Amino acid sequence: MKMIYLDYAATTPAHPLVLRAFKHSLLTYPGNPNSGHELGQLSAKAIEQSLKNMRRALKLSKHYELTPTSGASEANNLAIKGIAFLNANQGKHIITTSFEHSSTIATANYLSQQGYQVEIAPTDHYGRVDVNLLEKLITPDTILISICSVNSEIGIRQPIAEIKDMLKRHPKVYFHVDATQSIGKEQLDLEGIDLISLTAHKFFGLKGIGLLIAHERVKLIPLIHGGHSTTPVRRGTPATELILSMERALKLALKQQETGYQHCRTLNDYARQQLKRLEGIIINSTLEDLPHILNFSIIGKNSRDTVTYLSNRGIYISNHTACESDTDYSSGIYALTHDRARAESSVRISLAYLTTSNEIDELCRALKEYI
Amino acid sequence: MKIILFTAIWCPSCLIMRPRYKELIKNDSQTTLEEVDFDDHPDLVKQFKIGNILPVAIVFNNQKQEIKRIVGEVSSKKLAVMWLEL
Repeated sequence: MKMIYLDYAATTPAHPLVLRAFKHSLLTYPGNPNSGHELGQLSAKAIEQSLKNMRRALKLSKHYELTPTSGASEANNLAIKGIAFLNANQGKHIITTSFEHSSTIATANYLSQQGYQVEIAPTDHYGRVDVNLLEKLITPDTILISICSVNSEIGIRQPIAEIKDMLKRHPKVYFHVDATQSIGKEQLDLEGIDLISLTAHKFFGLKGIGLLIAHERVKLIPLIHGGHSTTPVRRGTPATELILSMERALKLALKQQETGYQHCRTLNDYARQQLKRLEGIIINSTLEDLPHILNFSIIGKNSRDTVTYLSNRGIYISNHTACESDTDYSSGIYALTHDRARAESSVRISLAYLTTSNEIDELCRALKEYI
Repeated sequence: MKIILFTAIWCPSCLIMRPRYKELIKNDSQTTLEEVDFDDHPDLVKQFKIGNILPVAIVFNNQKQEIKRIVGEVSSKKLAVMWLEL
């Protein structure tokens, strides 16, 4: 049975050149980067150079520091808790949206239980933040706004540039952007954002490595304490080979970003046309959303059953974010539509430059039989 | 009275509704609010037949009988009206 993978927003297969970079780094830099001897210092220098290269590739100024993490979930935790704990005396008000990754929502829920006031920013019918209403939520107690650039389930793009501009009037409020679903998919001007999260396995890198990028004005409380380290915000031994492989993945992803985007736009349009021909399908993602993600509901069909049915035919899609709950309804679709039937029957396909129109045809054929 | 509020840490609506329930009973010394984690207590989820939409608030009277069940997001205003009608 041929495998049809349509779950690239959950994770991507590692690019062969990324694997080569990993192997090369593993053999070339065996030393612990925190060791004082020459072998360790070679690793430390390789990491320093790699982080510098990634900063440049992301078009960020020298005012940014990159901290390797285990992925975006850790980066989100470090950013949000780091700001919250250090600035608790300044205020305890945090603003986010209903369309964040579960690692952001869970961190916000945790802080809410610890006495922080977490508020959800108003969004329009398409799930996009209304920047004027967002500004009205800011109080003297507001310490942080945390908003993802692209929602992982529906593909909703948030107006990051406009929020950044608005926050120039509120210099005491830190701005955190979970850019996990944007990096390597479309251009995003990161300069001026205080904190940025990303992870390599979303752009054909390896699992277990991500970044928290912080402007030098930002001070954080580490979540992982330990001895002296080349990464002071996150103590412990940095994974040299994972960091260097991430650099390779990032450069490759940025190089093919534009062609990948056009490819996904074309396939997204094609998939919409084909899906609309099937009975009972409501497409939840709009044309304004990132074309790499297409969410739709099959009214009357439980989303988990749909995923299982397709999986048994070698077609792999998601019913909600892989890192969310074990329930079979989508909190994102429910937040957007307040429609239980749509929330319980929504599924997501996510595309990449490897996806073909034949795979979309196969999916639609299988869905036709299923419906 | 007692409110048992089923929430999950990944649930955005729970983030919205938690302060609304706290506000609702702020000046009511006769009512307590207890939060139960959906993922950590599958036994209670089964016992109280909690569905997929969260949060779920179950209101019990002093005789420990369920008198009201509120599912999902409800505005503060509507919540206050529901409360007065109990």
